[in-house]
Amino acid sequence: MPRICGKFSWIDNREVCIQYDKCVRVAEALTDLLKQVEKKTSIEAVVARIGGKLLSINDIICEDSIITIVRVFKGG
Amino acid sequence: MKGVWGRLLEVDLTAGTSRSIEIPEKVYRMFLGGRGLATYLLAREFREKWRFLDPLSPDNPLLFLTGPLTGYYPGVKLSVSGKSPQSNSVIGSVVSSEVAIELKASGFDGLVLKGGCEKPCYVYVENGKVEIRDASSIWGLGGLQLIKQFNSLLKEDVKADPKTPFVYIGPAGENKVRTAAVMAKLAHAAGYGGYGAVMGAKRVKAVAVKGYGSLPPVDDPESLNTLFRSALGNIKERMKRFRQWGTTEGTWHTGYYLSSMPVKNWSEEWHNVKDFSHVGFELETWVKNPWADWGCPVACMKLSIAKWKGEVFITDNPDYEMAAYLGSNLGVFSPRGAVVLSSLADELGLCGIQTGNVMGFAVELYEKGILTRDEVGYELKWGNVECLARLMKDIAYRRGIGEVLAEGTFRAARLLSEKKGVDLTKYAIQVKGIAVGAHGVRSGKDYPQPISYALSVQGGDHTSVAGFPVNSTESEAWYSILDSGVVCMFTVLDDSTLLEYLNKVTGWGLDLGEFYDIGRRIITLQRILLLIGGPDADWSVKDDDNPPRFYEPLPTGPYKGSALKREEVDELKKKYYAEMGWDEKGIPSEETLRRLGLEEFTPMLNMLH
Repeated sequence: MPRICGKFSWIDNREVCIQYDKCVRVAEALTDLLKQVEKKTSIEAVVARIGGKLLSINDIICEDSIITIVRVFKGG
Repeated sequence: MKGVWGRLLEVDLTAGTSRSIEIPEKVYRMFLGGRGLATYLLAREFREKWRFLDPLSPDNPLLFLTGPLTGYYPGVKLSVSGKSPQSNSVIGSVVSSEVAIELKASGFDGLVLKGGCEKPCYVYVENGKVEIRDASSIWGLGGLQLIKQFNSLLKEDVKADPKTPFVYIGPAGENKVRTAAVMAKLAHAAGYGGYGAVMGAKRVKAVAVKGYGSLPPVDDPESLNTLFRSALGNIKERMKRFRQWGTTEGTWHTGYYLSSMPVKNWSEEWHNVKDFSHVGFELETWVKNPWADWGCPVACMKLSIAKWKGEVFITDNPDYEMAAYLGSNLGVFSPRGAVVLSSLADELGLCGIQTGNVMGFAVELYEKGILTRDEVGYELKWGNVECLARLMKDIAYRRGIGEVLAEGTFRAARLLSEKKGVDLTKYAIQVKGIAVGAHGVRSGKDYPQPISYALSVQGGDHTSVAGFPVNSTESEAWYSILDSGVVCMFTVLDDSTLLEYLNKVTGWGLDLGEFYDIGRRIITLQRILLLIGGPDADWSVKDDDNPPRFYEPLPTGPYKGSALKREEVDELKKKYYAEMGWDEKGIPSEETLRRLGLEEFTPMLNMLH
């Protein structure tokens, strides 16, 4: 039952948390977390890490975690 | 030295000679390469004399530079710099071109062109050996014809490898149009800065480079290889939609949802024309053939073909900026129309952003009766591709009204204001001589912040925006690092990954604070050169502002009524100056220069106080 928190670097490191009842794919967690703070940024535009590890959108998270989220891609 | 060779190839076009210039490792560590290195070299060479350097004189050096990450990080970008004829400062402009790799494989980190040729010439570099050759037979050409004929000339004249990459200028550059770009391949452009005009002022039509050597050694090849593979996978995964649609997806997303796309010279920032979208381009003009440059895992480029008035027009997708500036900003909401105008800009060697901006300015003046039919010679109408194409050609060849518009939006507004006796600068959507990129700030939904353009050392450049936090991927320090690395903004991951990459290539062992200090150092030095300015325009604290139009409410769309608030911008300005270590006039303090290791440039501050 992981509790996953996202820390958004471009919004003053604002932290938002979601409680899941099962393991969750990074893509799903990022989508849910982004929805909580702003709708304009897509998951393709961000890079996520847990600690030093760079996350792939296909990684699965089963433990309580804090994901640091950095916005990188910002438009053409 | 790891990741770089520690030397540049300097060519004196006037004397017809070349030499190698040694660059100490300390300089790379402080400025990386590309934009940062160019800023340092120019500041060191000209110092207080910068003010008197005419960007369109042969005295202005033109620098084609790589960086420590060139050849190792996915993708390939060449940095083009000098004193910009648009901003009178250094603009770090980049273009996708294999010239960057070939330079490094020649044993040099860059090429610096000084002086000028008496007659049209081209520069051919093979393994560091320079030839300055006659380019009379290709002078006047642009686009596909230039590419074909220059390839033949290279083969016949210098027996070059048929795959030798090159950068070139079109007719606009030859005519020293300030919105001219340095072009590569069919549709790649180093547009910001106006360096096509600088190349034209030197009478250099093209620069071709071939190197048969290896890249410089890196510090930790084994773990760099592992990091490369992981980065590559992550980039591919994240950029799937980009790979599928290219940047043109923004044509609908930025225009309809974010309401931050220029429409009719930014009088609006919203449209709801469904056909003017990536799907519209796909159905009407797009040949499904994604293409990429050396080592690029994204492949955002597409290919569009449009037939119009018996002619065939080819360009990339076009990308979002072109669809915006040569589409909606001119009232053109058809993919075919945008492709025709984008292809024409490529052919003429014009920057689509700067040129689309000044064209929008002209059409608005015409619509308001400020410019007349007698002055223009024909009618100017929003959305009329025929008259817009004519106007673009007049700019490239400096004909009629094109003579004034060829000076770019800032100078054209100034000249026409003087002529008409009214202030027309309020219709000029530019900051410090640089047209604002196609991402608005009024809706507050797109990525730029209220001070992004106002405080950028590259003016309206949407690829180098200022922002908070000042040590983050939202900041101009970040963008300046990308331009100095030199890496593409579409292939980067986060700052930690890029730093890890840099350390594995160079062995410098920098931490994140030192990493961002490189960016702060670059923009602080750029800021000093910007404020010194000259010879025909100067900037000061009052120019750290948005175009007046951005303070007017959006007239349409979901964010109707939204506008920048002057008090908020002023507050953010103060905060930004303080965080950057600049005084209340935006002048970097002596203490900041000391902290960043820029003490040698302290005397230049005297000119600013």
